[in-house]
Amino acid sequence: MDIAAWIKAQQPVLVDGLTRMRMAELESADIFRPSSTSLSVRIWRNYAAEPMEQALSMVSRYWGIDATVTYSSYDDSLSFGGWTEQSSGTTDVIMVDRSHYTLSDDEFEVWLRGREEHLGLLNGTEPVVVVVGDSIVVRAAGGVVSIVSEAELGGPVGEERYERISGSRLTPASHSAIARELACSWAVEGSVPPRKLVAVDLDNTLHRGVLGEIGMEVVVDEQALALQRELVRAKEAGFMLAILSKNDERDVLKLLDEHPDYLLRAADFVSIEANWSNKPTNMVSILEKTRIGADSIVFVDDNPSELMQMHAVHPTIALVMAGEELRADAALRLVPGFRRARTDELGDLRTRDLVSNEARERLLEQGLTDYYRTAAPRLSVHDGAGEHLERLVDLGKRSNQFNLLLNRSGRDEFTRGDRTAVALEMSDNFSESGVIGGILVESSGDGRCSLVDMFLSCRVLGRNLETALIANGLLNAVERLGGDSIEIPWIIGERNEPALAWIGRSLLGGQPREAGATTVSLERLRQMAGVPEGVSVEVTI
Amino acid sequence: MDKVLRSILKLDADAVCTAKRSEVTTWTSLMHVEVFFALEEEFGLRFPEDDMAFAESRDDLVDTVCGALSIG
Repeated sequence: MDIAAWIKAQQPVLVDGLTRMRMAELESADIFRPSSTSLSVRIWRNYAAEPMEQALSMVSRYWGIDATVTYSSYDDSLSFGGWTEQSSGTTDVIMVDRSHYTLSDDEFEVWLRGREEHLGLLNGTEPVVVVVGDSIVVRAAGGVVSIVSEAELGGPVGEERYERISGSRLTPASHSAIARELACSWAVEGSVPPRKLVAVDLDNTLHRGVLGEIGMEVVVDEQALALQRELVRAKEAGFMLAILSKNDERDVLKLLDEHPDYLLRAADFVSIEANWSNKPTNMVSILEKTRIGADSIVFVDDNPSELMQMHAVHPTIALVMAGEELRADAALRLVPGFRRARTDELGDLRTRDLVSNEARERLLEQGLTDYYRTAAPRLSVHDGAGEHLERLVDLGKRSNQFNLLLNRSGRDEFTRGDRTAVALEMSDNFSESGVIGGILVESSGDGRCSLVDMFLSCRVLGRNLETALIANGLLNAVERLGGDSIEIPWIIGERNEPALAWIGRSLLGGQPREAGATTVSLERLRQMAGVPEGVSVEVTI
Repeated sequence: MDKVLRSILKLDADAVCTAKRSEVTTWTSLMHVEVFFALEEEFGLRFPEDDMAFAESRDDLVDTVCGALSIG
C-alpha cells in the first residue's frame, strides 16, 4: 500500500459521492491496506441490496478488512428461513425497505423490534438493523446509532423508477451510504479494536492559520468547527482527547482558555503535547500516559507528511486527514472502531482519572509506600451480573492487553447459572476509576472452578495492586461457587502481553510463551489477596 | 459512454461497439443496474424506467443517453 495515495484517497473513499467510475479509478490505485481482519456479513432483507456490495468491498479493503457478504432471499415477513448457526466473526444485518409495508409507524416499529429480538435470540447477539424509509436509519445494540438524511445524500433515498431493473427503489447514493455505515462502523464493531483516543493537531486542523504567527487571530471556520463538534461528541461518548502540536505550550493553553470560537478547552484533553519534538515521539508520551495500545488511537492532522511519519513509527494508529476543503469530521466518524453502539459512560471518569495521574505519578515516584499512605487506594469487588453487567460486557470487548483469554463474553455468558461474575473497581484519593475489570468463573463440579474470562483496564496498572485486586475477585467468585481451587487458563493473543506478564510474574515464575493453564488453591488466593498498609478492600456482594 | 461500458462490464475496447446483453457474459442483471447507475452519475441524467428495463445492447444505451440528452 502506498500510504501517500491512501491518505489522498480518504476523501473520495469515505466522504465524497462514491460513483461507479470513481470506484473503478480507485480500484487501480494502491490504496488498500493489507488485510488484517476478516468479516462475514449475513444480510436478511426485503429488497435487492447487492448494488451496495462494490462500495462495501472498497471501503472495507481501504481499512484492511476483508469482507464477504451473503444474502437471504427477499422476505417481507423476515422469517429468517434458512437460518444456520453463525460462525465467529459474522455480523447479521436486517435490511428493510419501509415502503413495502402498509403498517402504521407504531405497528411497524413493534413488528420490526419483534423480528430483531427473534434474530437476536437465534444468534445470541443483537443484529444490526437498517431501515430504509424517508431517511436511512441504522440501529445497533437495540438503539438508533445513525441516521442518514436526504440532505446528506444530496437527494431522495429512493426513486420508484429503479425498482424494476434493480429490485429496489434505492438510489446509488443510498446504497453507498449504507455500505459505508456497515463497512466502517456497525458491521465491524465486534471485529476491530475499539478506538479510545483521538490525538489532534491544531494549526489548520482545529482552526485555520498558524498560532505561532497570528496568535488569537486564528479562525475556527466551518470545517474546523465541525471537527471540534465531532470531538466534543466523542468525548461525551467516552473518548479521550489529546493534542499533538508543534507550537509553544503557553500559546496553546492561552488559545484553549481564551479563543471565543473554540468549543474545546484544556480540561477536555488528557494530554497536551505542544512542543517542537516530532509527533511520533510525542505520541509515545501519550501512549505511556494513557496505557492504551496504538491501535486504540486515531490521529488527525492537515499535513500529509506528519500523517506519514506517524504511520512509519506507529502503523496501527488510524489516520485522518484534515484541511480547509476536507470533511475530517465525516472521515473520523468512518474510522472502524470509532463509533460505538453503546456510550462508554465511564469515559469522563477515565479522563479525570488520567488527568489526576500526574499527581499520582509524582507520588509513585517517591515510592509505593508513600503512595499507599497518602492516596489510600481502595479495591472493590462487586457482583458482576447486576448493575455492572453492561459495563463488564463492554469492557471485555474493549480490553485487548490485560485480557487473559480474549473470550469477549456477552450478557448470556455472564449470567449463566453455573457461573459467577465479579466486577472489579479501584479508586484512590485522587480519583474514582470506576469498574476497571471483570472476572467470570465457572463451576466444574467437585469443588473445582475454572476461569472463563478475565480482563483489566491497563490504566490502573503501575500501582502494584493488580494482583491483590484480581485475587480478591477470584477468591470471592470461587467461594460463592463453593469451590476449593480454580484452573486459570490463558491464551497467547496478538496484544495481551500485559496479562501474560502478570500471570507469569504472579503464578508461573516466568511469562508463558504458549497457551496453557495452572491451578490455584483457595489458600494461595488468600495469600495473594493480602494488601499493603494503607490499602483497603471492600466486598459488596 | 464506451468508457463506462468497458469499465463496468470489463470489456475490451474493440468489443464495446457491438456489445449485446445476450452475448456479454459479464452483463448480468446486477451489472445492468451498475451500468445505468454509472451512466446516470457520469452524464448527470435520469433515465425513464422503460428505457432502463428494455435496453439490450450498447446501441440501445446510446439511444437512451441521446434521448435523455434530447440529441438526434
